[in-house]
Amino acid sequence: MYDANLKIVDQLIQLQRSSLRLYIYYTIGIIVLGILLATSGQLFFENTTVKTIISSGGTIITSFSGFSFKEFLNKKENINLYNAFKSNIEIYKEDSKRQEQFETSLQNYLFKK
Amino acid sequence: MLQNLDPEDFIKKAKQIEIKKRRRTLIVTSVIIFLAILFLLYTVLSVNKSNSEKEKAIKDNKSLTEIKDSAYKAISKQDSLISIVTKYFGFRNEHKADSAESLYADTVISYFKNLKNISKTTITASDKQYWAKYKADNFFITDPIQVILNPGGNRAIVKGRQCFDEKKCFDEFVEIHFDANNKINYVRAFFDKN
Repeated sequence: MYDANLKIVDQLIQLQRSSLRLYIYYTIGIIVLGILLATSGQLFFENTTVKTIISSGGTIITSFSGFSFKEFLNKKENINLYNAFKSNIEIYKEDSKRQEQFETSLQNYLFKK
Repeated sequence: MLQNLDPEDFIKKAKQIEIKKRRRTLIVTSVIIFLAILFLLYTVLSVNKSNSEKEKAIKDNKSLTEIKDSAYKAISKQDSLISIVTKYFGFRNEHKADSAESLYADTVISYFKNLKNISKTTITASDKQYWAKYKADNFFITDPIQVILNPGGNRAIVKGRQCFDEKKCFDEFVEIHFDANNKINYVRAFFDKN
């Protein structure tokens, strides 16, 4: 039971880390897109109104990176939580009743929330 | 009811849930960004369109102003020539040959029927002789003076009634040409046969 729980928690941490990476890349992508837009407004347009609109648009798009950044923070929290689970699993390595409880808690957390 | 899953199924299910979450977040964010870019594009195109309409309106207004200005210039030119012609016939009717002289060019190409390429002093002398003979000579302008603006020289057509004395009167057209300085350099009269 202990080995199975440890494997599950390790896999969950891996999964969260891969999501975290994806959100980081996505957030960086959005920020770069916003900056490019804002800069292109200043460089390629002569009309002041158009310049202002494109620069504002670029800034707004950059601010949309907040959506994926929020998820990035969630993944961080999940990793911390799974690490806490992992520590407990390791502490109660010999206690099969506790190990069962951990599995139930994990299932509750993941599938019933 | 909780399921008793084996570790592989557990991980598989957790993975499915995570992938679903990722997809949802990425799709929602991408759609919002896509809509924002579309809106931005629409706004830029609208601004460009309104700018080009504004420029066109300014251009149209400019050409309209130019047309108006040239019309004003033409009207003012016509008014000044009409005023010269009116003054000229005023002097003639009062038999003021010296005053009329001030309105002639130095050399007049044609003065009525017989005088060609003569100086204005000759005209004054000739007029004085003529009016001494015809003391009641008069010209009544009967129709509005017509002015023809021409780059080669402006012209005026004056329709009226020429009276040599109280009894002898004829309807007549007088054609007057002006030089670049608005001085009279051609005067011819034609009987109106109508």
